[in-house]
Amino acid sequence: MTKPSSAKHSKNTGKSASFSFVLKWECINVGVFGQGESVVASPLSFHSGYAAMPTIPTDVLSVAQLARLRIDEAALGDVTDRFTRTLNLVAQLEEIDTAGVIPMSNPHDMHQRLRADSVTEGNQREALQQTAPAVEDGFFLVPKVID
Amino acid sequence: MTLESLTYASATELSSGLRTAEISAVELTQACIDVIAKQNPAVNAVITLCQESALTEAKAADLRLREGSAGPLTGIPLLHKDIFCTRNVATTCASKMLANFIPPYDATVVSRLRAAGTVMLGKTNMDEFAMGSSTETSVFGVTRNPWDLNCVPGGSSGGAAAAVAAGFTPLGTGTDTGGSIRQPASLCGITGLKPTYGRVSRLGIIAFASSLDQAGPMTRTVEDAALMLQAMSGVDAGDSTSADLEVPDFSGGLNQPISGLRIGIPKEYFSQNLDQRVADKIHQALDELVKEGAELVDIDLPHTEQGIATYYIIAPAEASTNLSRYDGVRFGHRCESPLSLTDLYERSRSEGFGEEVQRRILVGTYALSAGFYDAYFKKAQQVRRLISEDFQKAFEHCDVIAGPAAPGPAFPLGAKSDDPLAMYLEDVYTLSVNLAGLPGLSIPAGLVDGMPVGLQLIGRSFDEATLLRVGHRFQLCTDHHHAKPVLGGASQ
Amino acid sequence: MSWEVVMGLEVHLQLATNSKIFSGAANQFGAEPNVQACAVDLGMPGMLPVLNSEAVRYAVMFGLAIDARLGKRSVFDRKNYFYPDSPKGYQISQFFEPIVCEGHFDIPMEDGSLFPVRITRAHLEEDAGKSVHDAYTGQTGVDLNRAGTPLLEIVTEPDFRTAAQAVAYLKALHSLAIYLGISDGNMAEGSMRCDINISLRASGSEGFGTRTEIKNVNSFKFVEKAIAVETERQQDVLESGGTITQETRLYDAEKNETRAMRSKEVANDYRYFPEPDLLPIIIDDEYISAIKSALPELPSIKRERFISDYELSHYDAALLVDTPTLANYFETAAIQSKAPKLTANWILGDLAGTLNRENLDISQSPVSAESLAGLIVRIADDTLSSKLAKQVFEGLWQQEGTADAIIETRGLKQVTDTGALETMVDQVIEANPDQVAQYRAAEEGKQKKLVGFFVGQVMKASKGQANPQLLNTLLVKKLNGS
Repeated sequence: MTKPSSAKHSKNTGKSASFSFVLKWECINVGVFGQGESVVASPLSFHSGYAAMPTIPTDVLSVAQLARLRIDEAALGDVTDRFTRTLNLVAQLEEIDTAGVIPMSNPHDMHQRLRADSVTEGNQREALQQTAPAVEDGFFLVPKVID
Repeated sequence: MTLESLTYASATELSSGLRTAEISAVELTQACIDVIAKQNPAVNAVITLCQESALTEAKAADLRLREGSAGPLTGIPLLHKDIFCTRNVATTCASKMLANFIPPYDATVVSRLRAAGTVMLGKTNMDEFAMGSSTETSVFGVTRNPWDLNCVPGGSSGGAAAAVAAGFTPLGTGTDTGGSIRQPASLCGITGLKPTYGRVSRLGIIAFASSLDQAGPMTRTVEDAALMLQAMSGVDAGDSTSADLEVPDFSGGLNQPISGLRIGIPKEYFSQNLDQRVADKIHQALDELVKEGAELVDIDLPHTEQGIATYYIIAPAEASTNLSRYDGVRFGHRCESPLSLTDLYERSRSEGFGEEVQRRILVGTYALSAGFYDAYFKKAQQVRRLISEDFQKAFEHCDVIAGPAAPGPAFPLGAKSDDPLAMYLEDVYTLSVNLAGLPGLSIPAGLVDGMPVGLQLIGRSFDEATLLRVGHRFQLCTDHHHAKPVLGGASQ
Repeated sequence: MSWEVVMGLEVHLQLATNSKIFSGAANQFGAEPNVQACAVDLGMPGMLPVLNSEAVRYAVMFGLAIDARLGKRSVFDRKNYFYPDSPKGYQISQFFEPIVCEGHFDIPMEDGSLFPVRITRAHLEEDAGKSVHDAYTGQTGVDLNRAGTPLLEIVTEPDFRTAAQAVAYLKALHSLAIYLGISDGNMAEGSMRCDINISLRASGSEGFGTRTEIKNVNSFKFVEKAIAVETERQQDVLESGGTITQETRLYDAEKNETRAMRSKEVANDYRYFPEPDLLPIIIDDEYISAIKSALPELPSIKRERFISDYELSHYDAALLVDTPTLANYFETAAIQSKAPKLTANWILGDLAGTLNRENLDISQSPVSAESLAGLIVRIADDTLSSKLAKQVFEGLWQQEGTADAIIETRGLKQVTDTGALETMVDQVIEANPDQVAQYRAAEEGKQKKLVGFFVGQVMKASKGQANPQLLNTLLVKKLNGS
């Protein structure tokens, strides 16, 4: 289980003016099962007490890996620089007091409509696979996957 | 009505010309195609032209006009932003990723406008995946501002704004996630409306940020925007976030007076970020509205500046996962001879997405990742609520809010493309409106050094009618919306 | 050192809706690849999910059945990961606010006791597609027909200590799902799949050891075997001084072993966040009470009723309520025969055995509940001995008619006429003087054994139709010379 709970998701202990994160190798006690197992919570290689921004290229690479993007070595400096500047821009949120504010996921306080359980879509394979890059016998093909 | 005047007429004017058989839909469509053929190479607003199907649709429209079964939009040409899925017509989002994508379905907006009788001329250019404010990140090249070909048209719906401004079409569709209708409308001197979130179905619109995206009309006049919004609006069973509310008669209320209407002026919208010349134009516009009986009220929108930070967490976070589906497996760009699954994913995505898109995916991925979720994403969602509450409080004291749509007029091509943060500031007056889900309208408010400037009006949730009424009143007493560019030269 | 096994289970139950959870494509097993994957299921650009009302109703039914707290407001979240069977690059699931919260489920065990299991939560989510690995050289084929099938993921606390408990829970869950009609329960088609979280700790200790997760085990037998081999593996590791790595493992039924999954080697960061394409699901009391009042009699209630109304053992009752079809079969036969215990024995004995041998389900039984009742009546009134009854049952299986008709045509009536039997006994005694002498000379204890010979002879003469009790009484009386 690598399901983090929101309450344990992270603890922003940074009290300084900058938007700092203190616990990067924090092991989160996750366990829906309460079995006390630990997983490394962050994919990023920060160290405990290390203030902050992912200014070193390996961090951007870790995020890129998570997003399945490949960054050219030549562009890494630039990408890291812009990435860091964007994060610095958003850092100003830290100064806003949001204690007790319910997060807003959607602009309106509306609730989900439900659909009747009826089959409305027939076989559209041919049309839907028209622009598929690699198809055989109706299957989409990908390089061999090993479970 | 002469053929020459056709392409700068409003849809409302054209509609009456069609009904009285002064012109035919085929003639009108052909006229638009001719203008596009002549001017598009310089402007690059249109990236797909559907000449043949447009003429076929125009013929069908003429038939309905003759039969007397035509509606107000029957036979009116229109261009769709290339973010709307159009059945059997390439839909690329101006990305290499979708350069070969042809959807077998129409977006709800497309099918509704089709049902209303409009004639689809083609598709317009945009920033890749709608991520940008200048239409410079398109894989099909930059779109130029018809008022000055060395300037950007704004973005991301820059192709649509430029096309309407250049007389290619009376109507264009756009989408607005943080200002992508209003900012280019401002920079190109046209009318652009971002409806309330949920007013228009998102089904079939290629998603950027699901909780912010909203489609709307880009037109020459507020009157046309009302007509077009009428056809686009309404609940859609296929979009859970579309609002199940009755759609008012937008055109019907246009002519009501605005006397007694309270217009809120947020001081934060007139800060040092704003070009003084733009500020002057906005104040002149407000004076016009006061002459019509409106009353100005000072209001506060204290989290305006933090709106940028909030937006640049929420929008990329949602985008980062919305864009995960582009993996080279079922549609879209696939790299040559992938060596492994990871190789397929990484190369297809890195080759298919442009720089700005990748940058936002990285930021969004980071904001959602374990350990950072609370500090970034959740925090941004909390501030989003504060921003929304700011508007609610403001609307206790006013009926609409007015201010600039963009901090300045159109800027030269390339001026901000190396500085994403400067580019992000373009949307400082618009993106809070998306965060709060409110409707926003940009209408021409005059020229600054020959370049258009837009007045933005922000309304209460689902109160587009008031915005349209104020906008229409303004267009009745001013003629900024009649100004048109001489392509590549000075204005008339 | 002795070890205690600690297990928690996560069951993925496919819900038997007509259409998928977020699209109008058919929810059916076994179609040609990708013909039941519509644009929404494929994650095509611009497509949006719309929630199926039945999936919500089924989840609420389940929640009510396990007496759970229901999430009056529940929210869908995106679980982000790249994999070919996950077309959007995320799965729509419920992480922060599930629809079914804490509940409990008492599981009947063989010894008649009830084993309490705490349910942590149950949430709605969409199933993934399937990968086909062997058909293409160097390539994997992806079939997304299954993508979007509604799943209820049911998660327990780490309450299990033995494989028997785990299997009993799964069987009870399977049974409950079928009672509620929320799943077809077809395990061979993957309608119910189980992830086992398993760790070992020194007996008597309170803490938890590092656990592994065995993914996607889809039969009761494999669950039992997987637990056994994984327990053994972890024990070997721990006893040789090693440590358990927290990882996801796969049970290989052919080799009867578990192995680490390669695709799960890199720890995933799922980046859960509220799905912006869907809004919160709100369920109100009215909706809940409407569902509650329409719930069928649950297996636990039915089991208690069978025990009290029909005086069945806990074990038999638990077996008989396994499916509603079986329970109805029993109840029909028991009421008609007025001999419920005998009926239970026949259903769980001869009928179940024959059905198993022929690989048939109770719903396919050639012997109807009414027919079986006809047979039970004749056993209860002594018309049939148990031996004759088996012949009648065979006739019923062959659909030769009612029990009475078979007794008549096959001439299987038990001889209970004392006069007729007496004649046969006399003839046997007369024909076997040596054995009679031997009997009479024997001690009383041995006589009991020797009487068997005479019983056999008379049975032979009566073609097995002699009433055994009556025959025995007569024989003893005659042999003892009275």
